[in-house]
Amino acid sequence: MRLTAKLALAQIERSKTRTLWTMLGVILCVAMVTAICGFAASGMATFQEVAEGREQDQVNRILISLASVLGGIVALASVVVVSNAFRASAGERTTQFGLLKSTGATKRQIAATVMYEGLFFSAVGIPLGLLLGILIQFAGLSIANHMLSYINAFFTEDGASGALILRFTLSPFAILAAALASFATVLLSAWLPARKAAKIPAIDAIRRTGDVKLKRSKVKTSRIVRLLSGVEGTLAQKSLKRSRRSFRATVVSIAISIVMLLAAASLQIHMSQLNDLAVGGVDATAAVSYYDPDGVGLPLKAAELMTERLRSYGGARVYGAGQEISSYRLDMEGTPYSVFLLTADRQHYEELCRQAGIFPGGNILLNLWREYEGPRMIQTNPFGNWVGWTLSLEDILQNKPGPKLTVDGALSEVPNELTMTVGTQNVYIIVPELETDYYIWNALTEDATDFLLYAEEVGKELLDGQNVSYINYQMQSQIAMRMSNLISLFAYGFAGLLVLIGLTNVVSTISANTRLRRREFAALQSVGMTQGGLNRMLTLESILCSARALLFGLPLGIFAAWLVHLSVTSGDYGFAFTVPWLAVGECVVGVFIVTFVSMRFAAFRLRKANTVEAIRTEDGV
Amino acid sequence: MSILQVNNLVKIYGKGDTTVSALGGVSFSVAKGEFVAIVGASGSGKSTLMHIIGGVDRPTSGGVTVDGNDILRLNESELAIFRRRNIGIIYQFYNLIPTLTAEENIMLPRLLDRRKPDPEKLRAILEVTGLTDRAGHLPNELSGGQQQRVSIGRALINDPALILADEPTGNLDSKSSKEIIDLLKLSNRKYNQTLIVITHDEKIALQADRVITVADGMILRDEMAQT
Repeated sequence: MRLTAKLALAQIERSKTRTLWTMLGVILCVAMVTAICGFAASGMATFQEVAEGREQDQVNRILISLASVLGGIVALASVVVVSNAFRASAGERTTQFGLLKSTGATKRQIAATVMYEGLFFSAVGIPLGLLLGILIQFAGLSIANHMLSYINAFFTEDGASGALILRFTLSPFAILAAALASFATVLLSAWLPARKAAKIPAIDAIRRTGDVKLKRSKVKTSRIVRLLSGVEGTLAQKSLKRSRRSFRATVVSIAISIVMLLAAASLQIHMSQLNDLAVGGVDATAAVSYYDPDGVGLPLKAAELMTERLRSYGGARVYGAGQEISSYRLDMEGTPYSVFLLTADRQHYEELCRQAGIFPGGNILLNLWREYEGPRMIQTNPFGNWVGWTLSLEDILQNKPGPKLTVDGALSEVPNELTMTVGTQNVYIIVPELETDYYIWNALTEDATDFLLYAEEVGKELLDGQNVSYINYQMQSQIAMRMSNLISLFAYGFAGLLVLIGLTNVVSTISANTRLRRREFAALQSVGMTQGGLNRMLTLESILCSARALLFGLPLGIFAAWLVHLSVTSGDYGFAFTVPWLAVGECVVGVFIVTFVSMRFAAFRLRKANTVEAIRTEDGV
Repeated sequence: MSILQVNNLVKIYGKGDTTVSALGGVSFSVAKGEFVAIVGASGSGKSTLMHIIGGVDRPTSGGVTVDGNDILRLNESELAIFRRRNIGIIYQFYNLIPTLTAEENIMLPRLLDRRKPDPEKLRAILEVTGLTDRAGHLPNELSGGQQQRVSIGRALINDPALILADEPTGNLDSKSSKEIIDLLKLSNRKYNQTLIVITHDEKIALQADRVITVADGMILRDEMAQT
């Protein structure tokens, strides 16, 4: 074996903890790249069956670009994290490099010993990472298919579309791409510090004067920290500032994780909002609707009978509501309004009359006006003074006078059973009797599917099954839920793995740091810092490090959430952007726990280090 | 009255067959204001002795009393607090905190004690150590001699009962060594500071009131300087 390779191996064996954690980091990075490539390959294989020609090209392009973006993020995090580990390793060996140089080693040979370390990590980490990545791909697809099976059952029964089953494929091309990308990542990570190590002049390496000189401005601390946490806090802040580069990797990987988590959370919020919108905010799990395109109205008697029959299904609460599809025109002091007439089934109409404070038989005005202002829908109640007036409606379709209606009472909230039918920039009047071309029965029942089977029979019997359709909100909302869960699963899984990669960096950075700082700790102890004070200092370091990660991660994450908001809420859906505060809170707590635990780990290692030994040695500091 | 009392100290490293006896029963006492040099070849046990007296290492058996306190009965954190108030330690490799300025390094034992900085005292120490115009510098901006003067300042700040110096000139050129010796001697004369210096350096040993020679973990000679 070549000497440079031997030295690299010796270094790997010397610091076992760091080797282990760096290896874990490499394996996780490779696994994620592999899984991403694998998902893309599986996606392409799946859509190859479903889509054709140009559509297929489009799907492929989307999948490849998605995989490249995600892969790019992982590769970036990997380079930051893994190269940090190599840099720490090269830093520890500076004296050794000096000795090698003074006995005649060339720059190339110095760089080679660092690169051999990289090769070792590649040789072990990449095959293991590929295996783990394929496992993740398999597990992810199995879970996805399990979640899709419910949706598939619905669609295939409906005949609307074929079953969507994600196929697990092992594409040699994807695996090769993942392996090459990972190899390039690890080598780049090793090359960055190797180049730097090779550049240090021999004498500087031996005397360790080549290290970056500390500048006073670099370790300035704030008065607040000193006031709040005393000299331990000041020391914590100073040492963080000194080893800013080592902690940068941690900060970057945690920040990327936060961004992913917040984007995922935002997506989930939007999915549930969309879901609410699809269901229309109605307290219903199923609906039966009647619509005659030729404008033939549903006779009142038939509507009432239908309501009665649907209501007789055990445990179902049914609201019947009718609306005319075409509107009337109303001129009020020169302002034209579109007026829609609504009606409700007898029982609910009487309930509405009670709410409006009038006797049954009267007309109830919905005293509200909805319109969009930008993406936001605003609602006002401007028609309060219309009560008691008689409105002359105009039938614009047939260009003749319509009915004259006296407004007997008003409601300023939309009754729940009519929510579906009330839109923007219209005036609505609930009348006692109306023969309408559109009628809907919303039902609240536990078993929407069985209710609809029953409703179908009733519909056939009473309405010949003509012009009747059946809507299963329960199913719809469950499909939406499952889809959003599926997407969230992938987003959270991705973010979770990134957190793990960040964690491996935290641990390896901290154990390298404690080795390097052993003498400093010993000096502090010898001038009288207690073990408690030392722990307090490390805890404060972890808090400051977390705060830094959050400082970058949270604004970026909220920005990412906003981007998700923009891409989801295109066009008609007028949601205002909400910051996913719950997820923000989870991130804050999570980050503090992660860094705190790893700093505790460092303190534990520290306790085992011998003060006397550390203080006698010349190296360190 | 003796400020340090060392009784029959024994220190054995290792276990089983591979034990090494670093101290084989050492006893002596030091009076307040005394300047004692402990000399001996490397491996003679003098550094082990100093670490035990300084409370950073524990003996296998024996007793150490500093200013009337049996330091072996203190637990870890009591010992840490005792060290910061009663013992000043000076090392061959300075052991300064690289992120703190000279002034902050000097103040460190006080800051750890959550005590208010005493500007008068600090100014006096900066003056004595000749660091007045270097107070704001970080250790890596100082020469070896200056760094060692900072660590002497750090040892002096709390008026400790005892200052222990382990080869304080071992890493310095002869000019800086002389400055350090003069400074230590000055603190001994001026503040009546009790001083125990472990050294190879004959020049230091010649300055001391008393020279204890250690060999193979035992006291070989304990003699007052001829003046």
